[in-house]
Amino acid sequence: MRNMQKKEVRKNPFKRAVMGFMGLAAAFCIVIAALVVFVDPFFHYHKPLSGFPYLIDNQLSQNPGMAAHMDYDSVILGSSMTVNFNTDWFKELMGLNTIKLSYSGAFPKDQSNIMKIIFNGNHQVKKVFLGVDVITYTGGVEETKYPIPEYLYDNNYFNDIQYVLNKDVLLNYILRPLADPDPTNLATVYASWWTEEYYSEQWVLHNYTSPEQVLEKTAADAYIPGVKANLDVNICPFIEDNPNTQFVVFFPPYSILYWNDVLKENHLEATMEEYRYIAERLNEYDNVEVYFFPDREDIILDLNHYADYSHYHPDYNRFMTECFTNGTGLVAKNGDEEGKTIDEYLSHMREIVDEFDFEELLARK
Amino acid sequence: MLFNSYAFVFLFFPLFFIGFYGSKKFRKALLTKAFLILMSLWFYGFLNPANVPVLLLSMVVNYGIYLWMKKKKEKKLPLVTGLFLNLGSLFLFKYTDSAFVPLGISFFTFSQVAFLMEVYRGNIKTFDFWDYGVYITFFPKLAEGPIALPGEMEGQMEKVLKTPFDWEKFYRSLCLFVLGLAKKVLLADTLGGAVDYGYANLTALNSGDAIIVMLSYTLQIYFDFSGYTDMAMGIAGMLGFDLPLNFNSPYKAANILEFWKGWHITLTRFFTRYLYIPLGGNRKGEARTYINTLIVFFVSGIWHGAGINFIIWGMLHGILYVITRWRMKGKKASSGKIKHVISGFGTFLYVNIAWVFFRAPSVKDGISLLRKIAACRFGRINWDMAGYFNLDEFWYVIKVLHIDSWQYAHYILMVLILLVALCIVFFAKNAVTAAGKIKPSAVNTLIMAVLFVWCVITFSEVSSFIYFNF
Repeated sequence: MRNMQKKEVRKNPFKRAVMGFMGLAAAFCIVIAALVVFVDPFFHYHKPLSGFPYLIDNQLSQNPGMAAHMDYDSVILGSSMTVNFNTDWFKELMGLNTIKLSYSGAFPKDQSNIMKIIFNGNHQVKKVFLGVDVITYTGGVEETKYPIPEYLYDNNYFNDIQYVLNKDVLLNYILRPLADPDPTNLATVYASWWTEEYYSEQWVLHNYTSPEQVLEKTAADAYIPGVKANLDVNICPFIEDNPNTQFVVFFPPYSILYWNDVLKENHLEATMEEYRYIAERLNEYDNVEVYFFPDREDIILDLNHYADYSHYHPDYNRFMTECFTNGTGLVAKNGDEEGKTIDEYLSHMREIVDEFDFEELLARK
Repeated sequence: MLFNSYAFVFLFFPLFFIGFYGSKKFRKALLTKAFLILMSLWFYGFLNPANVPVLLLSMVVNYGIYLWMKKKKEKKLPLVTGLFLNLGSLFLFKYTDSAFVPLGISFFTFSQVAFLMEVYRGNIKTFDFWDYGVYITFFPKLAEGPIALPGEMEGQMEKVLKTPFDWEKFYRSLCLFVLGLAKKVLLADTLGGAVDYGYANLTALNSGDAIIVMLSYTLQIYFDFSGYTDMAMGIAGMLGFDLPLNFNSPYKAANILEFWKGWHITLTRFFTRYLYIPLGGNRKGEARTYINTLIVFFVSGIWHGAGINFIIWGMLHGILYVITRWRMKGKKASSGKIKHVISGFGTFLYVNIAWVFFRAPSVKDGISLLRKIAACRFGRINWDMAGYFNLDEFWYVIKVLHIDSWQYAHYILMVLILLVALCIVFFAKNAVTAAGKIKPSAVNTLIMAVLFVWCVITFSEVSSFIYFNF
């Protein structure tokens, strides 16, 4: 029977060609998929191979795998406000083996997506450093900044085909690093591209446009329902479920131009209330520390510390890391004697905003 | 579901193929037909299940009208009712700001209209529900045609069930599918990147950029649409079916009449049979012939999309068509080679300009692109636009050859890809012809397998966003 079939194949060149096509196509696909699984440039299946010059530059695609398969005992989460943290500082100052999993523009849902992976693994997470940008906490609880590649975030093996048979993965994350090795240093991964000369008042003002004055004032409690929903769904469950993990939550120091936006857009009260709500709400947990940096006059009043209206020089990432060690900027918990309360921080912030001469600064443009 | 997706290539089609030939073994036509219809509905509802009830309702209503027509001697009332319902729902979904437009509604509506017209004309005596179901839902042609006539589909299933598996037909169809896939995934989508960039950044373009945008779209729409129908014919062929030819190297045409003999052939045929001829065709004198032609192109413009720009596109074609027909009256097509080349080039240029209105987001944008060209302000080609042609797989070759430091290196691939695309549309055999002649040699098989896998790994990309704010 088998011989007859073989004869038929030989007799019919088209049958042979079809079989040849199927065999070759299958073989090519298997080889490509096997290579991707073996090198695993997005760390979807296993730890990095030792010695392979991995290129890490894609937060959406590589963070989930790094969270699942790399070794660490603490993580940095947040937006582009966190990309310039050097994880070596965390080792040096706190003895922590930290991994940076920033998402530029991250919404709370993005944080939740990655925390799900962090806490589902076998990691003993000592600390989570979470940068909070208030403007992102008012949106929908299911919103992500960018569409995420679901196949790297779920446990469905079938949709992994988008990863294992993917030209970008093959060319840009396997063949290019092999041909032109420039392995990413995990300590500085995702660091912003601005070089020193961009951190200047001239550059910042040049690119800054003051918003139109909004006449209608946003009510003080306008943002609270959205923020509450985001904390309830995307942040607090992780704090509650992981009492042995310390959550270090911090509000980053945007430049004074950010506060010009707030004034022009006429939502100062609402913004203040939002800071208060988040700080008070999170400070209720024993395993949370809240740090408040927006009122650091030494940082925010000098635009030479910034590359745009919100992004500060890496020196201030270093500064914040030191604060996490020595407690500067810590928001006192209720009834706690030490440190300033959130009310004190906010009234200082308000003082700065009230007294600052925005006209004069913008006139320098 | 898209043909160019992992789900189709690795899940749907293999399952379909096994089920189809498996059900054939039972020699029960009904079983195979039911299987085909069910799977086609899955295909149709894969990306949005809401599509399915619309199609089912359309089928039930149209089959009901067919039964009504069969019962009555006077068939006009059911026909008019049927046309009104079909075209009315097409209008509602497509031309009012409907948030939901069922997949392929333009195509299946025309299939329904063709069905009712053929019944009305007495060309179809009996069409049982399963045959009708196969005719409407047959997944290879469901979403984007070709617009097959009921007579073309009728009886194919019986033939397929009777004939033994044909390896040659399968191989040729497989090659046609791969060629269509490559046209769509490798060529059309690459060109599409530059086109999208161009139309989104009209003000930044100089004359050279604008010419490239115009030309790229002309090539893109051909490779996209004809690639899709090549795939449809290839898939149908692998199952033993034949679909009508839809594209026959239209850009090789020496004049606009020839162009329309090669572009979206089944649509032209549809309009000829069901609009042009009922209007009187060419039987009512010369003037009426030209008016009827213009009406067809006007309706064709409307069918292609909501918006005045589609009407402009249709009328541009209609007017040249009428003029050409008038000038060629009683004459034979010019036989001189040089004349042929010149008139072919003119036609191609004219078709290019018409496509601008087809693609531009608005008439204003279309005119603005043409103005850019007319301004004759040339300069360095737009860097970002050229970047869309720099596919990694070729760019790395340029790097390996160390020519990437040459100041024009960034433009090499743009020029090469456009040249290759132009050579294909002007000189290469039509994919259907090529697949019909391909030899089952080892080299050809290897080329096809490489092309196929190259397309497959292009289905998905690693999305990267440029992060600036927060």
